[in-house]
Amino acid sequence: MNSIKKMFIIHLFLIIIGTFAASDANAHRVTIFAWVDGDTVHTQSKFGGGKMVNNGEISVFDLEGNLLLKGNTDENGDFSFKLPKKTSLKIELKAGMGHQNEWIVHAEEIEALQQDSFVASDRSEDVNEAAETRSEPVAAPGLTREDIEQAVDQALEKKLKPVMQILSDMSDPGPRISDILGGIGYIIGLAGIGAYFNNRKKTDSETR
Amino acid sequence: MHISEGVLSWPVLASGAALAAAGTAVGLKKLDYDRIAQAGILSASFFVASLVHVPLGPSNVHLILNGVVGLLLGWAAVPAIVVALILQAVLFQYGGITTLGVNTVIMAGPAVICYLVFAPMISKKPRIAVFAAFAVGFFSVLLGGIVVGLALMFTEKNFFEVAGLVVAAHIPIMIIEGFVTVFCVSFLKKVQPSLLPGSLN
Repeated sequence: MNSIKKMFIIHLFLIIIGTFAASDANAHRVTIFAWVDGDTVHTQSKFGGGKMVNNGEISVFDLEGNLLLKGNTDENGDFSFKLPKKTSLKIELKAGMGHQNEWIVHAEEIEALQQDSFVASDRSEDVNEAAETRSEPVAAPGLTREDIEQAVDQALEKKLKPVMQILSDMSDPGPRISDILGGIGYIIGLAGIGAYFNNRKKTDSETR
Repeated sequence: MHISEGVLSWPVLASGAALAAAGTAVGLKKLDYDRIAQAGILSASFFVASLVHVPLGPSNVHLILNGVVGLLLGWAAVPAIVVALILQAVLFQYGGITTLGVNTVIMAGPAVICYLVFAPMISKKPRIAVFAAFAVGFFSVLLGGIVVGLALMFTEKNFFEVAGLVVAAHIPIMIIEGFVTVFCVSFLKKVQPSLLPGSLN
């Protein structure tokens, strides 16, 4: 019993180190996060814990599995490409040594954006027609509809970038203390179950 | 060293799973009552070892500890590592459920091989014991890298390229694991020699 106690202390020490070192960067898995912005798809790839994937291989497929395009991430883990097709996209990341992950951009996400701009242009045409009939000025002189759209797009992109970054970070929370303690609890429980059944076998054979 | 889901073809996955199942069966058979607590604690150590980071230059590496687990448990290291890998896959998303078998072979295979090769030397003279302990830590990671290369060989590039890449990336951790194992063994020799192979059974 004494031996188990001493060993327990040694390993408890290791477990405690592990628990507190958990917040550090690690390279056990990779994640990829992608979002659509107009006709461009941005992707960001990183290893668990926040290290960016430099020169990771990115392949873009449609849902039937046809390869649409390929590329490599830069040192910030970013890779952007023009929408090759208005379907759902499966973006696959290969970071070497068996690390791989994927992200699916759903067609609704792309269509919603496209429709938004259609609706916007439809509506502005209506407004234009109305404006023609009422002969009232719609936009400030010297500004076309395209100019305003572009300016809004740019402003939105700037404002949304940090939000996208937060979303990207949230898609990879990494191991939490609750995960770690839960796992240790499972192992102790399993050892307990093993000990229980072994003990029953022992007492059974003793009583017989 | 965890291989993610969807990387390997199914024959590799199936043979990994078969080997892991066989190893687990042997391990459970050899795991007697007195060692269940030890196996549980070592399994927990392995489970968290991958979270222990050693900062080293620009990158940092993490402990694997499969050598220590193998040295102290022998064949019983296989079920201990399987349990830890299942929990790592479910809770941390390291590796995956379909690749569980292959990942078990990667971690537990070298652990058992190192046990079979080096465990008899641990009870010998101190100098030999230190060498053997270092070798356990070193080769358990090195062999793991080679198994990764073997597993990826069927789906990616050629064996030497992948295995070389994995092994090169893990050279620092091989050395660190070597020292950690030496430390563990010499510590156990002082406080509790009966835990080491060759003295108890």
